[in-house]
Amino acid sequence: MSTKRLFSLILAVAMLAAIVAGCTNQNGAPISSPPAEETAAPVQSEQPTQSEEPQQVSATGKGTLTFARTESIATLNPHMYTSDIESCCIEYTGAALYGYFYNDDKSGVSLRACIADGEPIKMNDNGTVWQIKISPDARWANGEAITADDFMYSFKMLLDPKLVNGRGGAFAEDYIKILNAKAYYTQTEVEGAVPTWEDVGIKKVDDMTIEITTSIAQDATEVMSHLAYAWTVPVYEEMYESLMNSDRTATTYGTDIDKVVCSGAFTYNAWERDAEISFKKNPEYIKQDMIQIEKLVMKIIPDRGTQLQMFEAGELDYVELNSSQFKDYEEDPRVLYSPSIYVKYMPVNVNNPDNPILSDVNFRKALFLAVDRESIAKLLNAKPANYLISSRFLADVTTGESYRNSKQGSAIPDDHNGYDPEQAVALFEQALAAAGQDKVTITLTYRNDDADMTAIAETLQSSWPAIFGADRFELVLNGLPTSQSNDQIRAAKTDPTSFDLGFAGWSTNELAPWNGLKVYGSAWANRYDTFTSERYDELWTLANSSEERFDHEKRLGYVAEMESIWLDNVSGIPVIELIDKTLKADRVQLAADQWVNRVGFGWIYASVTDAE
Amino acid sequence: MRIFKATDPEYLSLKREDFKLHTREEEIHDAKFETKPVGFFKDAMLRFGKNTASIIAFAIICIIVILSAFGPMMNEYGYNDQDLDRANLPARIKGCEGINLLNGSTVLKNRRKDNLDNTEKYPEGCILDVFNETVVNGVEMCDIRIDTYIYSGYGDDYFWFGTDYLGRDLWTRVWRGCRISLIIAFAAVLTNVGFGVIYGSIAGYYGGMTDMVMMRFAEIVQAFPNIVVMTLFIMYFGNGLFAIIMALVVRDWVGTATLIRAQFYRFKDSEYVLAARTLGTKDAVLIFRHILPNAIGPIVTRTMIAIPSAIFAESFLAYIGLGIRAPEASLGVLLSHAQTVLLQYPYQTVFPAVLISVLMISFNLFGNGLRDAFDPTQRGT
Repeated sequence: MSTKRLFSLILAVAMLAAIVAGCTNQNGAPISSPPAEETAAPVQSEQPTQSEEPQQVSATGKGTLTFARTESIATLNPHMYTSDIESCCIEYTGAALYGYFYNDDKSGVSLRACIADGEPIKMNDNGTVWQIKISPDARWANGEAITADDFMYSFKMLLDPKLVNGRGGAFAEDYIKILNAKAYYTQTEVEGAVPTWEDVGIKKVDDMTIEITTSIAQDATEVMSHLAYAWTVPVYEEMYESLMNSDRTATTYGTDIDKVVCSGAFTYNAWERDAEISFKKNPEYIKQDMIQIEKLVMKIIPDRGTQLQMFEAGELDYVELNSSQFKDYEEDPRVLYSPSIYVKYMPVNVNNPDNPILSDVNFRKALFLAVDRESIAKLLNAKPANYLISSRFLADVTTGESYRNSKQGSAIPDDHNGYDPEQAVALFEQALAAAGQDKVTITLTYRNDDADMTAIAETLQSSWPAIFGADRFELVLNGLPTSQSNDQIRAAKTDPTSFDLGFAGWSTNELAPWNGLKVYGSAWANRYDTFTSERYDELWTLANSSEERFDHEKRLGYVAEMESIWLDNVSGIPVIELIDKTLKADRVQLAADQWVNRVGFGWIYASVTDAE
Repeated sequence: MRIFKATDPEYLSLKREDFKLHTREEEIHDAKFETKPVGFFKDAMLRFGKNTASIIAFAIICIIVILSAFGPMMNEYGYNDQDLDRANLPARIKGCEGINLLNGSTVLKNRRKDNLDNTEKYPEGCILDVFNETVVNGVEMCDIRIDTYIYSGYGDDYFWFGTDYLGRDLWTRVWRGCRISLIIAFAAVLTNVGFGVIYGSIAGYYGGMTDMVMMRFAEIVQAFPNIVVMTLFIMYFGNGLFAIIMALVVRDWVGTATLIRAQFYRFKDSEYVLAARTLGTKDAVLIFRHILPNAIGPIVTRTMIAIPSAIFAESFLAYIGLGIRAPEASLGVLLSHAQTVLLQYPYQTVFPAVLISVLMISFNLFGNGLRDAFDPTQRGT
């Protein structure tokens, strides 16, 4: 054998040995596992919490909390952000007038003043004029005082009809309806004239006080809730103006970390696009004594497998687990559970002229009843959902009662979680007879980069023909990447044939389901559903704008009726409610031992013990 | 005209009778070769036969093709037979109990030690080994190796390649996926070769303005980024088998057309072509009977080398979410899903990954062998 061949043979054997060694490593310790002595350090409780004794908090904080997100950041401008991760950055670095914080015993959430000085002051009997005082301790990160002028400028720019900022519409009307704000923002006439900024119900009273006039009666909670949104975070006038283009139709404010001035718990430290953004504690923050961490590092890592490996290697302090990853940690005491805001449902395109049977409520009901939610939930470590409003929504913020546990929310029958194949077949036969068809073929558009959705779609593709008859029903799967899938479903507004069945789930206002249900109403711009109901829209208005909304039980009744209309119409087919699972490193000590709405696990209030 | 006249007396004395016609007694004919004649293809095959690596590659390709055709029929499971209770079972083959990858065992990490005696959770006999014991947050934890089949209540079953996230048999799906990948690759390559040959032949044969217009169009088509074209094509026409094949053809025919055109420029002015044309042979016959056969070697070589590229391109499409429509599988679709659970269920990656690697290497070695056989001057390039 020649030397060359011998060398080739040795090389091949070496490679094979390396592969076999990799395969058989399962017998031993996992590659990424730290040595036993490192993980064996006893910890006092399963979910370590902050010590009861008050801690000394330094102005600059201590320790670094490192975590990962999958999405990229496009803007840090509070007037324009669109994604959850952008909202997150803005909430870390910006202080609104009001905010959501732990309540006193950290058992729930409380809506409190942040840089406002106390609750809003009701200025007239019918509750349409409110004054908000700004705390004299409120400061920008550069040390300058935050004044009424800052908010006047911020709100004016947010509603500016030339800039047409994406969040302007929601600021004009959501929890509260600011007088003439929407008309000014959209430049529509009111009583024969287009309002000017002077006509909008936002006024400066003095250097530290603003006054908001609304078009309907509001209460203090509504005003505070409205002014707690991330888009009400003030922008720094001098920088905002300097970055404005010549015709004042666009600004580059927030397109980089040196193009934004912070006012919140953290300031931006560094930003490497699509890779990492870091924050450091803001010593000027009005509630800086609540923050113990010196630095937050948010890595952008699209692959969850990589995130988990980094956590195992000690490079991340917490990581979210997907359903397949959860297998390895289902008994691990480090796993934290929290309700997901999402109910995954399948919107039905009831107006598709290519598939008119979709407009038959019996057919849609048949599909609803043919979903074996329990099996799917078991497969995905989730919760079966035959309802629309997830368990995370609260009926009452003050008591922390979940809407699903309330009298109104628990009224939905949960017999087999809405799975009744016999009734489904009966309704299917009725629908087919009414349509004069022998067979139905429908297409399910789904995100094939989402393992959970893919599993649901493929399960249904097998189970529905088994229930209805393979010769009478066919489900065609149209798997697309996320953006294309969402676009195709949303295109139904202009192209009614764009889809038959899709997948959707909304992250909306969890503290006020009556408000959050706006995403299913006909006025919602980004909606997936093709369902419209005048009664639904009327109920939403009653629950959010009428005098009756101050009757809490009545308002919950409206919510229940809205959900019931949506479900009876089978505008969509709910499938599961996800359960979020988070794996936390031992070195992170949470401020509270449980998850609470809006604050979550309170990562920014945590402390990191072995930051060195 | 000059007449030779002999001057030598010896020659002058010769009489007419002294001469005889020599050739008339011994007839002269073209002699037959004593060996069998060797034509172009025979010659090429002889050379190919001496290339051991290519022969082995060809044999492997044949085995894979046979298994793709008949593998899914070798057990009772259909490619879309779902059973959520048997999801994610690892590979288990009778007689391979000593090999971790093939004995149906798997490692469950981070288990509470106090739960190991719970036979409702861990049926008797399913725990094979306990190791890596640690204490986490005051709780005794360990990793365990279990017999996944006993653990899941399928102790008597054997899934040779395991099952996927919906409990479907991976042996069936891998071979069926391989069949789909091969169909896509062969169909795409044959289509683009067929179209490219016709297009390049016409451009090369007629030349002039026809050639200029056709090749400028081809260059424009080739200038579009391949990924963008394929993505848009599938977005518009959907992710069915036909659409994916067409997406792979829409731009790739240009290379074949360019190759064939060059061959035509090389041969179209040859004497034999001129002779045929002089005898009134029609253009179509000249193109396809007289000139095109000269390009058959490069065409075959290009076809074989294009097949692994097409398999790779199909896998790429699957990775960006534009793979074949479920529940059908291709190697790319199987790998695309498997890599998301690589750490949890590595066997789901191993089998399709090994298969696609072997397939790619075999086709490349086979293609190289053909190239060397048809055109020995290209050997080693």
